[in-house]
Amino acid sequence: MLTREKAESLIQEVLSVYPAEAGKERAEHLAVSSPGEESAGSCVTANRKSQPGVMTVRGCAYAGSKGVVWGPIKDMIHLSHGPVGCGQYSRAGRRNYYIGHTGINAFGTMNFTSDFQEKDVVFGGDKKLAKLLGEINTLFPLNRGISIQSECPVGLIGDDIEAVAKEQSALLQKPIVPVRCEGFRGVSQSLGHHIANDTIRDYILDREASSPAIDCGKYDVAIIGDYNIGGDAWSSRILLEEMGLRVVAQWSGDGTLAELERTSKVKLNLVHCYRSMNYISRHMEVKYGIPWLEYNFFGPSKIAESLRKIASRFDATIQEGAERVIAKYQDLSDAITAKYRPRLQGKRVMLYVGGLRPRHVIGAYEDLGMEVVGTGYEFGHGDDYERTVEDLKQTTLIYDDASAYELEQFVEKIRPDLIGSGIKEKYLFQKMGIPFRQMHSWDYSGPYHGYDGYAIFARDMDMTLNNPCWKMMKPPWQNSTC
Amino acid sequence: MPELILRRNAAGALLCYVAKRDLEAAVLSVEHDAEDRWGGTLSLANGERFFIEPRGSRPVLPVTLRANKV
Repeated sequence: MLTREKAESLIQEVLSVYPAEAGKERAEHLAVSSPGEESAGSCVTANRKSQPGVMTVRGCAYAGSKGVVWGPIKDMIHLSHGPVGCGQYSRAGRRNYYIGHTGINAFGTMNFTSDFQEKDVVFGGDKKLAKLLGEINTLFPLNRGISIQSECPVGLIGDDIEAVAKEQSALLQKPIVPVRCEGFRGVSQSLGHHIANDTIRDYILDREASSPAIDCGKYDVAIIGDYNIGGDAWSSRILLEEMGLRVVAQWSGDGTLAELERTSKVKLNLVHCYRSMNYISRHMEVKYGIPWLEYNFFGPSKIAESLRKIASRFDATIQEGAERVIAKYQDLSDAITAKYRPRLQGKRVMLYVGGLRPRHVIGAYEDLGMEVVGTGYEFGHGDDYERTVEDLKQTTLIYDDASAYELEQFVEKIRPDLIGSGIKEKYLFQKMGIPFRQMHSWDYSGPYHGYDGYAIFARDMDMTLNNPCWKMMKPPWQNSTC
Repeated sequence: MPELILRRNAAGALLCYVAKRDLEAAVLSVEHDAEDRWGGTLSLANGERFFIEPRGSRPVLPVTLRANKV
């Protein structure tokens, strides 16, 4: 059990090695949340530039736009405009599953790049861009549109990608979206989400739809901010459909251009990842009058709570449907809890992820009898921390944009039973002898959303935590007995 | 002049969102809050205050308004 005093002294200890100015700045990002304290969320300073010289795990604006928001839209081609590396090293890494024939009518795992060379940087890349947009359309005629995801050099040399996009869009009769998501913009990938949201607003929602209109129903909803990692959106979608709603669009996991265009007609936007898609939800609320609702599909308690919350926005048919869905899956989720809870009861977890997970998965861990003792966002904002504190039931260490050093120190001192973070942290902590799950893309597993996802989540946590390898951390020659 | 988006959350409380700064905060009080006169100084939960030119009616939420920082 982590006490407030212990957590505070831990923070002081970690801060003591920094130079005075850096320590003062970092102190604002670290906090302790205790139950009953409403203000802890607003105590954390977030969304600030990382300190120079520390190892931050943040991404860039290009990662936020191409990797998160635009990338999963499967029937559009997302061109990494600039040198080859940004696209190639992030290709298919996020496991946004989709249905379709890759290279024919879906392009999710492919890497399209303008492969900038020295001459493009010196003389400008606009001519090359215009040429390759034509090439793309010849080679992949079934694409529904192209987004141009700028990499750093494009902004540095001042290329006018908007003009090329406008000209080629008229020529090819397809939406071509210039996205100014150069990596140097902003302090983290968070600005990339915002820029991407703004371009969807300007170039997709405000444009005449290219797909045929559909009949609007009174139960039409859109799933916003579910990227279908390992199939997450599918295991969420079936629950909504079973309760009687019609899911018209998925933003953006397994999503299509037509779905984006139809979203302005839905009755309710269901927001899973608040951080990356609240901007477009707010825009649709103001412009089309579509209300939005945050929900959480991790773990049976939160799923039931969310299904009821969603149903309360509709009539009795849907409310009955929600109860029916909850009842239908009750036995399944009870059986999972009964099986895994005794094996996981009382284990302590530390999380350090991005987006929605530092708060959303807490409920799922609690369903399994586990405690979250530390949590933090790579690129969260103040409103994320306020939402997080509401979900914390005990004294918890909160760290914003933690450096590699801070995280290592916290883990060394707290010695949690499980850590959920990213691939850059995985091997460090495993070598420290602590079970680890890569919680960005579910450690090559998933889905974790919905009741089906809960079964996989529980199994994964059990197989990681109770793996016999953790008892073999000591080499045999160090054993006292032979 | 920042733009504020005002909306009500599920609990019915008035929320203010400043897009440029990505700041979401509860509105604690509105100086003029009547059917025929709405606006004036808005006090936010984070201690900031904004001034919106008073208008003749309550706005239909959500709404985007221009405001001055007090």
